Amino acid sequence: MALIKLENLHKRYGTQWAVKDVSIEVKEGTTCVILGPSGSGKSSVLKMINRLIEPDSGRVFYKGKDVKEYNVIKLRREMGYAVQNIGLFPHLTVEENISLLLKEIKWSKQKIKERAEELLILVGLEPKIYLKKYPSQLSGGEAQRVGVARALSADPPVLLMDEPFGALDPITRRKLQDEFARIKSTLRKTTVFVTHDIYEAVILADEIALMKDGELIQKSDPFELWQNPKNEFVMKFLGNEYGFHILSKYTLQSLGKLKECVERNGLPVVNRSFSLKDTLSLMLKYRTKSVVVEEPDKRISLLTFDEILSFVDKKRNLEDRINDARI
Amino acid sequence: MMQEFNLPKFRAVRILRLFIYLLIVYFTSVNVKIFEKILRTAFPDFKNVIYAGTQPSELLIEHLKITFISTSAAIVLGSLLSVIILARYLEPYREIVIDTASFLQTLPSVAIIGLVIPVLGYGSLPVIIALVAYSIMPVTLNIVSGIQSVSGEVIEVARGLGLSETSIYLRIKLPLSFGVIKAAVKNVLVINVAAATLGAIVGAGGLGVPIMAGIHDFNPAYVLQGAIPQAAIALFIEELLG
Ligand SMILES: Nc1ncnc2c1ncn2[C@@H]1O[C@H](COP(=O)(O)OP(=O)(O)O)[C@@H](O)[C@H]1O
Ligand SMILES: [Mg+2]
Repeated sequence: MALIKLENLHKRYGTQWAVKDVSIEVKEGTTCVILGPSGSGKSSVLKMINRLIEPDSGRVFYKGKDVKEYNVIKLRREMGYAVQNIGLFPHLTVEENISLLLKEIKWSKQKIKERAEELLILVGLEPKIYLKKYPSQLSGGEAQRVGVARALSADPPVLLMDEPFGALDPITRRKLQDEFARIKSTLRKTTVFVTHDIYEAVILADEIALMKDGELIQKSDPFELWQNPKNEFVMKFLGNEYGFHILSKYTLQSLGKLKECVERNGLPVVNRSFSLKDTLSLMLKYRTKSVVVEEPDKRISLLTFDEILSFVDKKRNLEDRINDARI
Repeated sequence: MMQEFNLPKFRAVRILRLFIYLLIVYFTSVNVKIFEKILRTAFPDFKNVIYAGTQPSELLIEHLKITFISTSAAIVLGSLLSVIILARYLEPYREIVIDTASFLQTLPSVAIIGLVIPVLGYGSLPVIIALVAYSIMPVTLNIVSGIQSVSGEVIEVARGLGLSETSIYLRIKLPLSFGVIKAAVKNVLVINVAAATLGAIVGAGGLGVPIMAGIHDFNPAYVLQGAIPQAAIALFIEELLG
């Protein structure tokens, strides 16, 4: 059953539709990324989930119950919320920012302190250094880490994130995206993540909901979106690089058993943690159609370009079959 | 509450200034021996250079009492009023209330005293009421504008996190508008220090008494005796809360 269900949401400002007939379901433990150009209505959809804005029509369900039937404060406490840059309270230290909600729900001082430290470690900040700092003393990346920690403070089952890495420089952003992808997989929270960054969408999403001008254009998993874009807009918006983003999401782990070999034969050597994208890049760099994979047990096996091709092919057929089954 | 990055050097200068203002008040209103000698040298033609009707320190205490009681009352009432003005269900009337308040503020405090004396008679109460009536508007308007100046996005995040409206008000809005509110309190205090002089007209005492007497007797020394500590108190407040 879907943990969060958006049903025919509409929202209009003046004469302009900000959100037009959007329906999305998010299954428990999965991540749905709402992707789209700026002004496409992503934030508006997200804020209807925690009732920061109310839809003109349509309904939002959480655990099968209309969100209007919940006490709005209780509802929001089930849903961690992180936003872009201005998110931290400037007059409070990192520790106070993280513990604000915990104080309000009456955690003990000791427990709050432990939780704040634990969260900072989780997001990669040394508690001793950062607990007492003010937001103005943090770099953009550090501030965003604290923003994520704060969203996680009361360990909510749901995370709502509105371009949390949007204001960062490209290098820091990549780093945080990859780290968050790792954190996310250990936390297993139901997440709705808003972004206009395509790479971010690909590496975080179980499903991508692509929006344009307030409308939901296509909703499917990242791979399917690559292989079966619904129209010209989807294809153009994702761009040619999208395929590489997809390939960077899969490591050689997903290829299964490979043919064993005995000799390196001067081929480049990779291991199972390499992504398909990096592997392809190596093949092109060394102008070869195969690489040697060093297995965890130190044996080596051979990986050829054709195997990557057939992986994509198999995955595509699988997708098609799932889609057939859906119809 | 807000972090301040004052360099130690500047802090030392501030403390020095505050200390000097206090000394001026002390030597013009508490221990006036030296002050008296100076005034005698400056105005050799006058028999009395220190107002004889009331102890200087008593004048000072009366003055401070009027100033601080009226300012505190204005802050408390102004805070309550601003909460009402900012209440969500009163939003449609907010503009009208603020405009009315701004208009009332243009009435001079002397006029207000004139209005309340027939009702409340002489003494310190009419002065305090006049000063409260006069300063409640700047306090209220500044709290309102301070709180309205807190970024809507910050408040939205606070709501999104699941904080209650009360705690958003107390933990986010108030502290973030602390600077603006502090400035308002400072201005009102400085105004009230001067305006408390009016207490002399209605027999409430205060540093206005020697000033009035000085004007009446053409004695500039009396005027200085009232005006110098008043100026020093105003500067002290300005420096302390500036
Ligand atoms: N409070 C508002 N008042 C008027 N227009 C708004 C408001 N909020 C959003 N909009 C408009 O609605 C559209 C969608 O906004 P938004 O949901 O913020 O898009 P996104 O998050 O995808 O950038 C935009 O055209 C925006 O200008
Ligand atoms: Mg947005």
